[in-house]
Amino acid sequence: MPYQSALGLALPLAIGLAALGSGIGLGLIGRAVMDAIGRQPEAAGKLFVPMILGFAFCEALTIYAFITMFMLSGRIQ
Amino acid sequence: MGIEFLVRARRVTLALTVLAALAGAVYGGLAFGLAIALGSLWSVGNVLFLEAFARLLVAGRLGRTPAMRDVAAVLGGLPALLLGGWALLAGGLPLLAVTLGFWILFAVVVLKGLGLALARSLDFATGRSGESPRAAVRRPLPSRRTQGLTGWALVALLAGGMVLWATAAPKPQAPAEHPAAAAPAGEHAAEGHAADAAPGAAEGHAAGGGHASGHPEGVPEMPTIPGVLAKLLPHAAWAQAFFVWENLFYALLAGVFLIVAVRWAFARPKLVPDRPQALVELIVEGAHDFLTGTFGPEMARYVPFVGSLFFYILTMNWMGMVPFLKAPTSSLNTTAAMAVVVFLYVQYTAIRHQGLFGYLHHMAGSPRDAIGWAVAPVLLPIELMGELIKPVSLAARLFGNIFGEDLLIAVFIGIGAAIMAWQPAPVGFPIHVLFMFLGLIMSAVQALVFSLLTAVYLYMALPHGHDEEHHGAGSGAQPAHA
Repeated sequence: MPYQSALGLALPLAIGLAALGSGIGLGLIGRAVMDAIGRQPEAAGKLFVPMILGFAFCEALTIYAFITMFMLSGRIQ
Repeated sequence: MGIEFLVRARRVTLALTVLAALAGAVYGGLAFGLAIALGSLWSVGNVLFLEAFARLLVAGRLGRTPAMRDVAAVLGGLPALLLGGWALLAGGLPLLAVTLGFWILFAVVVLKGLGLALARSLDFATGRSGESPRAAVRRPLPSRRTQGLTGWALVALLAGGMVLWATAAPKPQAPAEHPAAAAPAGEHAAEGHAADAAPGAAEGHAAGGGHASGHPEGVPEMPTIPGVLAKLLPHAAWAQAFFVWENLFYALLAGVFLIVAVRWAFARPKLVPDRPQALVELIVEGAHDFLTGTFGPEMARYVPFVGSLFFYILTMNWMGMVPFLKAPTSSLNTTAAMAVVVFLYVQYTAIRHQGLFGYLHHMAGSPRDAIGWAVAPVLLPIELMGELIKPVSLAARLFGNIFGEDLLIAVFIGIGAAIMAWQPAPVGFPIHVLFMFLGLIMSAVQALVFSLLTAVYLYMALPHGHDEEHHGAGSGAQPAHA
């Protein structure tokens, strides 16, 4: 298999896998925060910043995969 | 029918002519657009002539002295119109376009008449109080200034959209065919320019590569002012340079915009603020309350830095939604520069608050006993790496998000244009609007994340962030101690 085909197959797959992991992580964070707010609604303000930060760290992983894809997708030609 | 009706119809016709001529020029070439414009102008000239003629007749019947202008218009207009019509027909311009242009005025008059006939239902639709068609015709025109401003603003908007579309349409495979696009231009100019065209093309190519910061060719991008300029003037060195530096230009633009807006709002600060001042005060107060409420009162010192970062980034991100502008943050260079600034400022703050030795002690994992000192040589590089990875992740996160979001919008604009490609009008299906809403939210969240992380890093550099367990890069997620 020429490496172009390998890249063409692997890059979308890599993005998808990274997004899968990020999605699970985001879902866990979101669920935990929702639970916490449901249990203690007055804590919503305090939970906001950690939630956003957790989202950011979680989602950064997909972004890394995304950037990697763009760095490598030029080779498919 | 009053004469106002004709005046209105004429103005609308002129505006429509500009648009139609532009569309014609985009589609059928320059001659086609010119023919549309000339045909429309000729019909407007006819109407002017008829108006003058009617005024003369009325004046004659009422026994008034006719205005000299009307006499001149009738006497001089007839041969001028005949001559103009002959020139139009014999001038070799595409007759189809001339006819199209000629019919614009009639279309406007018919549509306006229909609108008046349906005035009642229109009133219902626009929520205006019902007025009879007669009153609608006699209603005095709005002031010329208002008319001009709103009318031409509308025309400019539509024309801008058209040019945008025209330049965006071949985009999806655009950067790769940069040399190909420049080649016909060189051919067209002359054979002597062939040597000239090659460096220009190479430069454009380099510019495309450079400004997408190492991204592969073929990434669809919406046109920007420097991009359009560089395309129009493939030989002008300044346009190419402008194109290469466009991110810097837009970043500066965002900064200038913020500074000017705030300066304007606070030009004459009052105790009882007016609207702009109140808005800015509200925003600044909100940022202050948010930061001090989340991290504690000692963060008040860093509100200007973090708040400016937030609004600067927000402005830059939202610039990606505006036609002909570009989000400078969709280039890694911009975000990396900001991340470096944040990194240096955080290190400076840490050293300033902990002292040089305290800083090093902290970097070695704050050893207290013999075991702590023993593992310090291992912890030091890890902590160092943790510090160094922060700006990298900051820059990559912001860049990746904004770049991906703008790319998404550009791709969907392309899809929208492809959907509507079966019909000749230069319109696309606005499928990307959904993603623009998403983009608005994502831009705000990313600006918040960047500035919030900066705040966290600053907070961790303050002395009392010291006692908390925060080893490793991502541990700053627990700042909300109270």
